[in-house]
Amino acid sequence: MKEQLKYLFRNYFEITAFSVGLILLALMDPEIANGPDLCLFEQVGITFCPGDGLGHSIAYTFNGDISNAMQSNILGPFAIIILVGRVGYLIHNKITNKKRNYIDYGPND
Amino acid sequence: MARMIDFLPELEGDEGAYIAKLMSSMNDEKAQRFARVYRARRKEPQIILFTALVGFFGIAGVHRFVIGQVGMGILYLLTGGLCAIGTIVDIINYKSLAFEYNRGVAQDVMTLLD
Repeated sequence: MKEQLKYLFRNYFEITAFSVGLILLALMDPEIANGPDLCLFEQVGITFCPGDGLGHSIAYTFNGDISNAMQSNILGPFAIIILVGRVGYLIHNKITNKKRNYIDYGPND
Repeated sequence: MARMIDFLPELEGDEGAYIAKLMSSMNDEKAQRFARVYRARRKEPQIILFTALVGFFGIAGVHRFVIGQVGMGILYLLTGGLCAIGTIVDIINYKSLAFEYNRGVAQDVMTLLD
């Protein structure tokens, strides 16, 4: 059981982290969501962070509101493209590696 | 039947298991050539870890450039590593990132040697 969890964690951590983040942002309503700041640089007292507003920007983009997205953070749509591409690439890698029958780094290594 | 531990003793974990399986079908001479090229081209997981840690002190995303992911590198660089969250994800995940890169290197070297 523990080995299995380790295996899942090792193989799917990045896919899960990025896709869960994107899904949560797609479901979030950017007008209402103004809770505590998630940015760690802000939490430790550094006021400037170039990533501020990225979450709102992504959420606005998913809602189709490009002008507001650009105002929050100009990189929002770019971030979506890159992250979706990365997750897609990782999933594609998993599938083709299984097909080619490379070792499936099973729990017993 | 070449054994990975004789030629590339520094490998461990997933990468070691993968290379061991790859090497099990080689003879000694081919394994030696493979080991020489592979050692020169692979990236140490620690390099990924250290360059990812730089992200907390200003310049994020260096590790993504190191393993050839330019798009992710630019995104991290311009957003402070997705507000440090992406940097933390990659620090937890550094071994997988290094292994992903090294597996590509191993496959390249295999086609070069054939």
